[in-house]
Amino acid sequence: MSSKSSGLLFYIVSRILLIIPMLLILLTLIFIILRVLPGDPVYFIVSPQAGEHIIEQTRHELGLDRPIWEQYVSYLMGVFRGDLGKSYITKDNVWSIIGRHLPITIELATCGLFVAAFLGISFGTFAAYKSKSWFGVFNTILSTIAYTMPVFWFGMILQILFAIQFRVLPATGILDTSLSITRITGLPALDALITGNMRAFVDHVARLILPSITLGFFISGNINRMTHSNVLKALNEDYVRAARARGIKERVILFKYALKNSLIPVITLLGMNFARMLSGSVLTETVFSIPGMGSLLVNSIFRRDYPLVQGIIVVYALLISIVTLIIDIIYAYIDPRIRL
Amino acid sequence: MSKNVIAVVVLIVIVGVVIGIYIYYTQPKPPAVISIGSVRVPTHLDPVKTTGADEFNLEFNIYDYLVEWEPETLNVVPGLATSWETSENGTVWTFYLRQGVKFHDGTSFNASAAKFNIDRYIEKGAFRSGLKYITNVIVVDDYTLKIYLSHPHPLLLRHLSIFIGMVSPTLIEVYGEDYIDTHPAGTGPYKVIEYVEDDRIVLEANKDYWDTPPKNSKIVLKKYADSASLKAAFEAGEIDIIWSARGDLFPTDVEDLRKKGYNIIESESNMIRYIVFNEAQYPFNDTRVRKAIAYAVNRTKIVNVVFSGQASELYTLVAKGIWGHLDTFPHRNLTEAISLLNDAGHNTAQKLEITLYYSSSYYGTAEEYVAQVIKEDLEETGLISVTLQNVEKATFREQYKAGQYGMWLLGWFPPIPDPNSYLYYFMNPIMANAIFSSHYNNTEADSLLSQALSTYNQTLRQELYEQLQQILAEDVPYIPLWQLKQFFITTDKISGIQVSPIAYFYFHTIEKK
Repeated sequence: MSSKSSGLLFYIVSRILLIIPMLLILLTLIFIILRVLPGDPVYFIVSPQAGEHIIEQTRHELGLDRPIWEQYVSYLMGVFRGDLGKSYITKDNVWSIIGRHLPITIELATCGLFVAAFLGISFGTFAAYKSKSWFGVFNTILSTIAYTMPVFWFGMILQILFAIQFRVLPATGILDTSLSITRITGLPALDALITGNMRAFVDHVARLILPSITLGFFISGNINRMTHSNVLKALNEDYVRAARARGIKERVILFKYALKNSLIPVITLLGMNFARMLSGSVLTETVFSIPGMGSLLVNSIFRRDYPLVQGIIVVYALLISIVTLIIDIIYAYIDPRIRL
Repeated sequence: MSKNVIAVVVLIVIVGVVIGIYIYYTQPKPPAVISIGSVRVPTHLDPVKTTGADEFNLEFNIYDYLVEWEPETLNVVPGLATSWETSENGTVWTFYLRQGVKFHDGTSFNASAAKFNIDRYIEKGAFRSGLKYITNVIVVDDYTLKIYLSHPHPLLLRHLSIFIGMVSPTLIEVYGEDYIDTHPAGTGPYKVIEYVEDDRIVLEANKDYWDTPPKNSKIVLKKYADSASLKAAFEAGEIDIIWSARGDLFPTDVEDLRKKGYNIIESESNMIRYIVFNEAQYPFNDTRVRKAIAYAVNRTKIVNVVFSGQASELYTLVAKGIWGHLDTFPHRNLTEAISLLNDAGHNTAQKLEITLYYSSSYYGTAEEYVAQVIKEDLEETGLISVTLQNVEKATFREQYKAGQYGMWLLGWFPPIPDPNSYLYYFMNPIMANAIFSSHYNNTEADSLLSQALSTYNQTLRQELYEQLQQILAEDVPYIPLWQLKQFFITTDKISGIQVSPIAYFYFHTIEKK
């Protein structure tokens, strides 16, 4: 094994090992914060007419009458066994609840990422190329709007225009109420394709368009700005001037020289934003009534469904760790100084 | 060249997809499916766990009960029991059960299945404390059942018709208790074929239903995150009916849809809203102060300004549409309010300072406007200064039960259409304290409540409940404010919606063109 690849392997292993204490600290914090917060989950389960004995009995059934440290130890033991517990409200296994909601958010975040990458990189690059024209000014305004505009407001505008006014796209949900998709992988689009349910596939894809644009447009502001400044910087580098002097076509200079060299930090930013979209798509999910992880987390926090909130946080932490690890590995591979 | 070809192909694919989606969406949807949108869907479908209106409502569509009630008149009618009789002293009830009925899983319904469900409810049911009067359930033969009571109880038939939905015993024995939360099997007009939590529940008509089969084949109950997305989905043609039973749709949204020409059916909902006082706290331990507040609140303003007329003013705790309802609380009278406050020692130099607690995350955004209107009403006396305190849903109930509030806004949605459901929990000293922490204790009222619960004489019961409502207006431990209306908003394609005064929605009568 070469020293380069063994160094990289060591780096990867150490990063994976670091995830364990990070998860432990996070879990402890979430566990404590949830219990310190005012609000008793029992009141979301028992009826308003329930007497004290029913309240106490429910508390006992949920194990909430045990000392906090005992609840903590038993929860941690469960987590190490891969058991995240059961939801207080639906009594369903936390893994299976997350398993139903996470693929929807992954699909939405992936589509949002494509929209963000397409809008951000294309507009940013072109604006850098035409920085002194009206398009440069327009792009600055556009990227600022994308960055600062409230997501829910933009989503509602798209909804009113395309779903209610022109009726060319659906307004809400992930599937028409008359259709259903047999669950195989959990990803609705993929499952519809596997089962050959083209009607459901088209319906589902159409339903992803407006939320993806909403989410992607918001993220594109960042990508646009970074692409713009990096391409602009690259276009003034000596190697670009040298290329121009050699008579290379402007299109080739822009895409092969300037853009290619500017893309690495942009891709990193896209990766980070993907992680952010996984956990931060709640507003988009609310506007478009998409049953993803964001709305699941918000609902479970409001209901003080401790096992579900903790489970979602663990999954988020794992996902974000994996995404950042992949980005770091790519970086480490490209730039050996990081491994030192 | 090759890049140009790729670009053209990509463009053709994109245009093709867009055209495909457009054609797809301009096609009419299969008429057999009726979709109903709401901001809530049930969190489970097991009758023993049910406490909320969303669960009760859906259960009425998938389960049957020994006795049932007509949605419009609320009269008790035969259900899975075709007839029944009572012993002379009123403590033994014999039910004769319907034959040839099967659960959705194929199990036969009989007296053992009925006993299984009643026993299960008495052991685990959410409202089991109210059914302690049932002492024994005996299977006489396959289709005869006897229920023994500790004393005559006028609510037995109501309890059987609402709390104890008949679930297939086989299903519970084979798959366990939690399974029926999402995979119920009753004998009712609909079977649950898909349950996606926090998203949708799909019901299919039970073709073997023993009574008149549903007029539609499939119902989809779809949940939306909030009033805005529910309205957007309806306007985009994605759902056929919006059912707003408890102020789910914001008043201005209802008005907007009315202006746009959609069909709106409105009726009273049995949900009441009121102020609760903690009589153990100063200044609410003084009846004059509570009465002064009752005189100062302006229900007309709340109903017109906040709800655009989509609610009814309420002057007693028993909802309109429920027998025994009698207006007993005074209408607004500022002079009377000021006089009472002066008697209690309050004047402009020494204003009465109070805090009104409310929870907009519990009852919706309109709650903030209601609180503001009440503040203005009370401050109009010139003798009261009100601080408003909005409390998060998760802590609201915990804090008022802990006795931390002196005056707060609350709602009540009893499942049983009987005045007892509106008065007992508020006026029985143990219940009033356990549920509301109101510290209300009136022995005369408690004695009247007990009398009303131990007789089958309807005239006597009516008299007793009217007396109780008079006592409430004298003692003012609570101030009834308004009663919500329910709305069904539909497209022209929908007909046959049956409205019930207690805001339950039976799906089997709905038709779609």
